[in-house]
Amino acid sequence: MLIESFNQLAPMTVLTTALAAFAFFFVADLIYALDHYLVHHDRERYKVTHGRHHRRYNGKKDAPQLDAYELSTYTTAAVVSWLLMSVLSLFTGNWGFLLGAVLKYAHTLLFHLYQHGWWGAVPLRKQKLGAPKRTWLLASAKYHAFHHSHPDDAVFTYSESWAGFDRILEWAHPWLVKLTKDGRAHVRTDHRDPTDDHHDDTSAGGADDAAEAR
Amino acid sequence: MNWLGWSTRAMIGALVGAILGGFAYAWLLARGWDAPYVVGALAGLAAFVLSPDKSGLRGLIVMTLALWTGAIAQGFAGPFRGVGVLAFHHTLTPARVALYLVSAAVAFALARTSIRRGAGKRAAGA
Repeated sequence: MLIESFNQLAPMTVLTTALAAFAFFFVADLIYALDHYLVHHDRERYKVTHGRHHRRYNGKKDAPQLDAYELSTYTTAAVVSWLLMSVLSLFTGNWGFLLGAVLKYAHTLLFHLYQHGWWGAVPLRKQKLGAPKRTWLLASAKYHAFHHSHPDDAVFTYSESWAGFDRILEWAHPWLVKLTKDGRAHVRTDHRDPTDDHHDDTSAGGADDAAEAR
Repeated sequence: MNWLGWSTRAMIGALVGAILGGFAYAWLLARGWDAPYVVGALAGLAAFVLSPDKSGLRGLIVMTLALWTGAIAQGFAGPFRGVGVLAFHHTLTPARVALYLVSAAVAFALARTSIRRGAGKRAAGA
């Protein structure tokens, strides 16, 4: 009797757990991609936080692939998601949400460690990885690695799992950029075209571009 | 490197507050009073008094601690005696969800700040 009940319940439980894990993974990556886009359109925040990431991976490798600062920020984001998803799992009885949060952290660490394999004696930009195609498929590590050397490329490569988020961001960019911190500042000062999202010298490619041009 | 806006004193205090709150909640449940917010109030209050600084992440940690402690404590007394955390969701009604949300809100609001005047704000990675 018990085994029969379990057999009836198990496929549904596995399916709903998997769906919940997938749902969290999808939403988390959407938030990561959107936040990544926003930090690239917030000069002040970029300078004090994310710009470090691009500067680091565009020089010669001289430090661990995952340093204490990165581990701290990735883990903090993961702990927030674990806490919230543990509560959601407790209240819904679906532990897939918590499982998805754990898997997302593992994905983030493994994805970045693999991706930073391109960080070596030859600076990333000089490796000429080649611009990725505008795909709607999964985002490969090489696809996202291109972003480190070309953060302002017309082909968006912010996403870490589904490249479709980048295509949607590209579609939304003309009006979405006006809502970003830089975009709003441009509206206030009316100094330049708000769709011009190139960074100043904190941009990863800026110095190398100038060097190559010389 | 401060990882999580961590303060050992505040977190130990919150844990003790949550445990005391759990006992109080179970005692009240046995007398017919469903008050999970007692857990949130005691855990949050302990963190509030012992925190040297402000930390949003600490608020989130204590909030989660209060909710989990309440879910565990209700299984020890009253109408939900013997119901483990895996079946906790079966005991929820809209009114009970609201009571637990009150607990979460109180714990978060208290634990994210500090009783100390002029306490600085701590951020992860800072």
